[in-house]
Amino acid sequence: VAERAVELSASDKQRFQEDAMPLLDSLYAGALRMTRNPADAEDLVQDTLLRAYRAFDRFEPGTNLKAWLFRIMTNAYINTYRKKQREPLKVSSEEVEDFDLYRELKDHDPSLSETPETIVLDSLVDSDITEAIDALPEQFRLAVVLSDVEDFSYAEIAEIMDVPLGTVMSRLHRGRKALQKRLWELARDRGIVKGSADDRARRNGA
Amino acid sequence: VKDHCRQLLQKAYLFLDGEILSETERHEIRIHLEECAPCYERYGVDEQVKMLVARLKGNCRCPDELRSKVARMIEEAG
Repeated sequence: VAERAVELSASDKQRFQEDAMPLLDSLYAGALRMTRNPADAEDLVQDTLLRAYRAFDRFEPGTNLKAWLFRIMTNAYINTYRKKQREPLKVSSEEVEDFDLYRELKDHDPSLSETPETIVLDSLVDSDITEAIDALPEQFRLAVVLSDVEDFSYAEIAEIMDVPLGTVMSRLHRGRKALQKRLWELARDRGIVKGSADDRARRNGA
Repeated sequence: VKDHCRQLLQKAYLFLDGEILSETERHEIRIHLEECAPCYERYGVDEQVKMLVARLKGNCRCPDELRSKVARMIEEAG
């Protein structure tokens, strides 16, 4: 971003204080899931707010400020922070498409309960969920976080990530599949569920 | 999964995500989920996973130190 002298009117400054600053919790939560570590998340939030402040005269009052800030943050993340970070191994999309958590839950132990999903999913703690989200490939991770943590609509996510609506929907779909697969694996590693014999053989490299 | 179920489940995800649907579409989804147990359960699994992820909303507040750093930075920017 080119350095630009800030010449916000007094009322713009006040509006930034009143409207943008209360969104810091949301922005920090988003930044943490984007960068996956607190130090980078803090830098990203500062960077975002400074960029936003400098450009605030171009924000159209009455439009969605949170979406506008997230768009700035997403761009800042992609252009700066992502380069520093190693991305997790790409999930093969075929493997993801095939995964069906519902099937796995139904199959794993019919004697356990009529609603095994409740038992399995309730046993996962918040750190399991962050771990599963953090393991997602970036584009899936961003879509899932923007939708399920930040409550943006598909149209807003399309705007924030600068992709067509259809792309948002497919990233969300695949991201959730990958997330469910990871959560299932975590539940299995914790011994919350027992994998099938086939699974165990595969995992042992047989 | 049958084609009909697949189509309705896709719409059900829109419903789950709070996307705007017509009254007819919402009705169609409700009826199908009432009548088709596998779709109802499948939808339930996705709903639960979405709720799990949503739990993260409340539990990471911006650290106070960062909040004051940002405030100072903006102050200095003019």
